[in-house]
Amino acid sequence: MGFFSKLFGGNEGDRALREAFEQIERILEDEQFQLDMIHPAMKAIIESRPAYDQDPNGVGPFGFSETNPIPVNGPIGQLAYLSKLETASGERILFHRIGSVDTIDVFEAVTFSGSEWFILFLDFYHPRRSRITPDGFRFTQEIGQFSGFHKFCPNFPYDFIEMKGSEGESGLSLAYIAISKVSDGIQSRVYDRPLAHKVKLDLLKSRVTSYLM
Amino acid sequence: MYNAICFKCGAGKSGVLIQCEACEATPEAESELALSLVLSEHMSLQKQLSTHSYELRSHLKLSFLDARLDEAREALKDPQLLAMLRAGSVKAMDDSQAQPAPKADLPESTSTSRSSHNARKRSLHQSQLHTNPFAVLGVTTRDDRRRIVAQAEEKSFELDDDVCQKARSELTNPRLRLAAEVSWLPGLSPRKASQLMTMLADDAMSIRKESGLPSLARLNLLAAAFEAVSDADSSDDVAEFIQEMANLVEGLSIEQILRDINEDRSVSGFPEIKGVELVEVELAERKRTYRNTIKGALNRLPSASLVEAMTTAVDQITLGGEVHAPELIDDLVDSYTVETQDFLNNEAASVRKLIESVRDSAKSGENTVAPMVGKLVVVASNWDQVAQPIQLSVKARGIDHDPSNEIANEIRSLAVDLFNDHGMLAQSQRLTELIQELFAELPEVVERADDDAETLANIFDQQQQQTQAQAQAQAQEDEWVRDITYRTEVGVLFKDVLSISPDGVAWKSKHYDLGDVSRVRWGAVRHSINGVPSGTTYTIAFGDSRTEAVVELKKEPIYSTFLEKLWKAVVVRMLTELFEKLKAGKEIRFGEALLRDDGITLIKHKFLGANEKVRCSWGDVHVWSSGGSFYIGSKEDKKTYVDLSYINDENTHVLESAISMAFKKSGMRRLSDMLQ
Repeated sequence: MGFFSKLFGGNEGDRALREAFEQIERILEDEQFQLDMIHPAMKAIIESRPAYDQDPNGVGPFGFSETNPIPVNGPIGQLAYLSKLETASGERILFHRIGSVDTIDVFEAVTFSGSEWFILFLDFYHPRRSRITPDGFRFTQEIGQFSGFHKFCPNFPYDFIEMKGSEGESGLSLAYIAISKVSDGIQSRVYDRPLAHKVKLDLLKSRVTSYLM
Repeated sequence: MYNAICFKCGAGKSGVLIQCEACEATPEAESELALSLVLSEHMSLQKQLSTHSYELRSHLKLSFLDARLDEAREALKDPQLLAMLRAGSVKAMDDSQAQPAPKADLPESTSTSRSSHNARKRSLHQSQLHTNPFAVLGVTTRDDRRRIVAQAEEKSFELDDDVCQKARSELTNPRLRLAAEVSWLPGLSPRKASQLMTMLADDAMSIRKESGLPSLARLNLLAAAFEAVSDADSSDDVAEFIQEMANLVEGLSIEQILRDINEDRSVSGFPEIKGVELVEVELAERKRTYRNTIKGALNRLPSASLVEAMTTAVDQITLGGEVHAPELIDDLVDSYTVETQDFLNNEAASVRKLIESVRDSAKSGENTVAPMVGKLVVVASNWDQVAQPIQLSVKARGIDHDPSNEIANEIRSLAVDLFNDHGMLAQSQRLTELIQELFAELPEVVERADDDAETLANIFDQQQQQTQAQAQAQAQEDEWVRDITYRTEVGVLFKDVLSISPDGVAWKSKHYDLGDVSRVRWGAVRHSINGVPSGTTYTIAFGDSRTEAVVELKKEPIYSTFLEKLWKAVVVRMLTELFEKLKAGKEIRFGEALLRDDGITLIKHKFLGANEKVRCSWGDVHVWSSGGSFYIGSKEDKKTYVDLSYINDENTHVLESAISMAFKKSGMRRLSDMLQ
């Protein structure tokens, strides 16, 4: 039994449903499928770039520096990668894209409990996603259903539910994490950016090219 | 709408750490960055920002709590934030393999990206870094043993063979190799290391502009650049450079250094270092080297610049002695303390000699003492200038600086003696101000000096007030003397002298002291013959309890002038005495009237039978003048009254004035109310 059987309770009776599950599995896991979902021109550029876990010429802390970003396979690869991260204490993260510095995308992230905030840098011009994690992170053993967005959330992360709803047209909404998993934090209003994080955003504000805040 | 204000001028800004458009200041040092965070909407409400803006513009002390500054400093320790600040406006972070460094990297990174340090280009081909075995042999940290040996052989053709073999030995022996690695450029790729060595050789100070370097590698490069510091460098620039080094040292991460070295060792094939202990030992040695390098650079500066550089560095990095300094700064100050000890002792001895000289000369007066105090101020200031870095450092460490305390106490003692024993307030104040200025870093001394200064200022104020009051009283006295002094001669053929002055009032042979005059009366009588005016006789009489002098005058001007003087010299006093006697409960007779404080006894005039005495309160009577007399009568009964002749009855004018004055006071119940 695969992990989707675990996720969906092993219900294989309904063929249509199983096909939907397989589709979700491909969205979350299949790197080629993720590339196939994006524009052919973009896909061609991405496929022409090297595949590696970390830029050999990268400098600075991996994932925390724009000069050493996490290589991933396109925008859906970004969602898949970030959704599979969890902190050393086993907490997954909510995230959204706050803009980009040149070709490097900048994501703001927060643990589900709101205990830690991060700024992560990803480079999606690669055919596969990195197999390593930034310091302090590991890959979750849970199903990596999407827990963030490849776009800016004006009221991050309190607008998670609305933003998830807006993903209907993208065909990705099925791959998103259940609202019940994040609603506790949202309802309890636990997300409060620490001072250092605010200053980082302030510094980035003048540098990201598509900052929307 | 702004979301932050400039830490320097208080102008509004749209970003926390951006340059101020008004004064062009950019937060650079950690203290400035922390302050800027507090002065942003991240930590302050708009209303608070407005308040702080006003405080900055008015050069007032900022009113926020230190706890907020601590919170800001804590935030600035965030590794990723530090890395961002280090990057500054430079987008790429070059070749750094470093983890975002801890707090001490902050001033280093910001200052290197924004500092205005000496742009003078200077090459550097010889430094401790150039003697590193890696540099000597031209090998990289990733070269294996075979390559090192081969390179040593090759280099021995152009360099001293012993030097090459020693370098080879140091790099191939795993234990010795660590010292070479720690003093080289750990964490940098061979290519980047080579680039930076070239840069160092071409323009040593350009290294300071490099960002994104691992802390230890950066330190080693900066230490090499420090060897290029010369007497042409400004003290401010050297001070900034020292702070860069100190903050970098403070932020070194042994774990990171170990990781960097082991990464290279894994490539070069040398055994990895298992624990941090060996690295710690080597790092301690590096810190000593950094300190000695900086000391060497400081010693190349002129003495005044050396002192200025040390003072500026300690002052800025400790926020004026308010926060602990990095270890390197403390070490430097300790060395400085030892090396300046002789100078400070000699200057202190000079200060003490001058103190004694001032004390000995105090009896000669302020004119003698003032120049000597001036000399003392100069010598003590010289002493303090050199002691300044030490004073700031001990303040930051929370300890006392005994030499400062001793000198401050001796100067204070002199100031106290000059005032208490010799009344030299100005010199005492001058010395107290000197203590406040020179020993601002010593809280107890400053507190005591502030108290002294306040006390002396109060005494000065009191003296000023007393002097002013005395001058005012003297002026009033002089005016009174002028007002009452008058002398004239009366008579056509035989002239008699009528005079009044502070010495008394006199007519002919009679003289009365002003204080003895207890009765006065005066008036004028017009004469006519058959209805035709024939002149006026003016009468003035004054005397004591025993005798009276009566002056008859024909000239009205003399009469008026003398009465004016008499009024001021005598009558005013008599009025006051009258009120005081009444207040004391005494009854005073004026003709048939018996005057009390709360009323008067009048006479009820009866057509038949004896007159009656009627006791009236002041609310029951009214007064008027008629036929040369002053009348006091009952409001209810017009037959109840007394009449007192102005010209014949003594002190009628005094009584009239007393009653008239009292009646003008609303709600008057007692005549002595006039004294209140």
